[in-house]
Amino acid sequence: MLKFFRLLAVLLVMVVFASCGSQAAPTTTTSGNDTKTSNLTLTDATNTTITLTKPPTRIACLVSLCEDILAELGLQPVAVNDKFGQDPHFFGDAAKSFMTIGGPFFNPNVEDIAKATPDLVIGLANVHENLRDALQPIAPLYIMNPTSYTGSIKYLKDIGRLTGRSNQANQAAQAFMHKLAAYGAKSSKSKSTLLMYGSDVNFNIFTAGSLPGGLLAQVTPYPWPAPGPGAPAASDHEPGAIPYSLEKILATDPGVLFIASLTFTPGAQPLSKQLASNPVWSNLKAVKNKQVYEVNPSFYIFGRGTRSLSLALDDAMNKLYPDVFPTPLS
Amino acid sequence: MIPSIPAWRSRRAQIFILVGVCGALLIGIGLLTLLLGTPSLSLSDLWVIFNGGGTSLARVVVMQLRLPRLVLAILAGAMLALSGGMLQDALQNALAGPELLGVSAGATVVVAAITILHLAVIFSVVPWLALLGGLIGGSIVILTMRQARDSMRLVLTGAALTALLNASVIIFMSLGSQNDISLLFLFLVGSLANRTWVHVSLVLPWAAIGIPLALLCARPLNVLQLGDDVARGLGLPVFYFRVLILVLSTALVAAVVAVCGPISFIALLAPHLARRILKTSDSRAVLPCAALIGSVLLCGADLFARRAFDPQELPVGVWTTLIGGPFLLLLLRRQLGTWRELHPRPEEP
Repeated sequence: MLKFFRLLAVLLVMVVFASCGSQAAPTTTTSGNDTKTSNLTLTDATNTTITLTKPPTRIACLVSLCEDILAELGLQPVAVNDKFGQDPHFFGDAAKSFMTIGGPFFNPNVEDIAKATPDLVIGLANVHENLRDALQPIAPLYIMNPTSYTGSIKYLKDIGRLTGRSNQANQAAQAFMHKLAAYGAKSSKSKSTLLMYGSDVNFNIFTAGSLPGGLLAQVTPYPWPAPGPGAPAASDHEPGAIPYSLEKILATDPGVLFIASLTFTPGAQPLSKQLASNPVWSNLKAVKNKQVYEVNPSFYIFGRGTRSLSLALDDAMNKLYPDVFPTPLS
Repeated sequence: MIPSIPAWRSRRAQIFILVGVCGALLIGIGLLTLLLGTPSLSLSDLWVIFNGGGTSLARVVVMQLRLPRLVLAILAGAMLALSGGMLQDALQNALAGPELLGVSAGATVVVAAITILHLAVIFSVVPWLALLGGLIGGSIVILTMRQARDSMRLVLTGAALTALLNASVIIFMSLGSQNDISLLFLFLVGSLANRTWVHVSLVLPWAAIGIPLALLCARPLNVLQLGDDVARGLGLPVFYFRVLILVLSTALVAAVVAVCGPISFIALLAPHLARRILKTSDSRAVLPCAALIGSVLLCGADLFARRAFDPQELPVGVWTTLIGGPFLLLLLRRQLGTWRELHPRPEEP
């Protein structure tokens, strides 16, 4: 019995030492230069402060927003876990050479991340923060969670500062804000709009409290207020995207429907036709007037960054007001 | 315990009261379902709409959304409850339910594949494919009965197949994007939102055939409750009757799952409530009352799901789980108590 307790005591001491070691590690990185240290210190969406010893040059992206930001800054990720960057508006064919991180979005393969030898890993809140311990020996993990376009700009500037590319970040932010203001000023704001994803039965809508919904609300009527404080929290991955009453949609009767039809593939019957044959959806003004548009979820939903949102704006404004915006604003 | 004829007659009053209460509740909830929402209506508005008047919006909302949803809730609640009641009696297991049939898991695998792999399937075909998946899942369990003839093995086989199919769903989920999974979640939890007459028409033939057949099985189910040996002695072909119950339960559940997703706990809750209220396990009384209770439970939960956080809709399956979960725990606690009474721990020397 005594032997057992001795063994237990030794094990406990080992566990205490091990846990002390793992807590101490992140705070050991410092820089001699004060200014540099403040530039290389960031607090992420989980209130975790990370400090780097030098600007990161090998960034692994676990979320599309990371790729969006790096594209804006003129940088390239060292590894990615999706094909988002292969779009010509981002890295095009160059993205095919990026190392692929295997595993699902919700649980990327840590060994693959380690193989890329990154000096910073960027992920999404409520999805990737549980990787922090596993990634500790590999690279610091920075978690982002923009809930509005101003949040996206903040993350752009933060990563710009961290990588020593504040100028590029500021320019990209200014260009985006300029475009948003220009669209808002020239828009007649005469067509109410709804952005949703899903099918005729199971669908979620983006309220004005969501990132893409809030953006559209700046340039056209978007009569879908965010749920009140008593409502259950919307999904953290897509803030504001919620299952919504079809009765309310019928009563509000939007003029234009933007649908990211995730179950749709090019071979299928066009969504507008499917909705037109539905006894309920066919009553909507947007369906009757053939104002149902399938949109690219990469730009409208997944991208979350200034470049994606800018592309979404170009697309939406052309569809909403083709006479005013036959081509995208610069 | 099957009552004697006089006891059965005296129980009739109890049954009539329960049926009356459930009927009144169903009418009340049904009216609220038709009246509340956007637009909110009065009884006179509703009367006008049923006579072909009212605004176009009100007509569409009542006739194309609220009414089919109510009808679907009534049918689905009754079908799930009957399926649960029959399985509990036939397998002599108080916790038996449609999830042991592999039907829900089979349908879910199909919907998961369509959603995650973005298969080129038009929306209106999805419930039919889900139905096919559910029937295939159920058929596999039924076919395994040739090997596993006793009820305990059957329960274990059903649980194993369900676990296998659920693992396939998890594989699909791990491949999906955030929004794919969010959509799949709406199906997985079970919802009646936005269902129309198209969905009712898919369920209706199965209900029209399945519900009367299920009620006709009440007498042999009573015999089976006496135990396999006694039932055989009384001339009941136990094995083939169990197969029949499984086929019937599969048919009842598959259409519901295909259209609404796997709505949990109605199948477990409704028969037990009926047994407790009537204080009998006589299937002739329990099955019809369970069907009514199932309808009331599902209609009530759906009304709450629709109105609690309006205009946000939470899937009805969330609420049935919230009600059913604690009930299951209570049931398990009681079963454990009964087991301990039957198997007292031997005293230590």
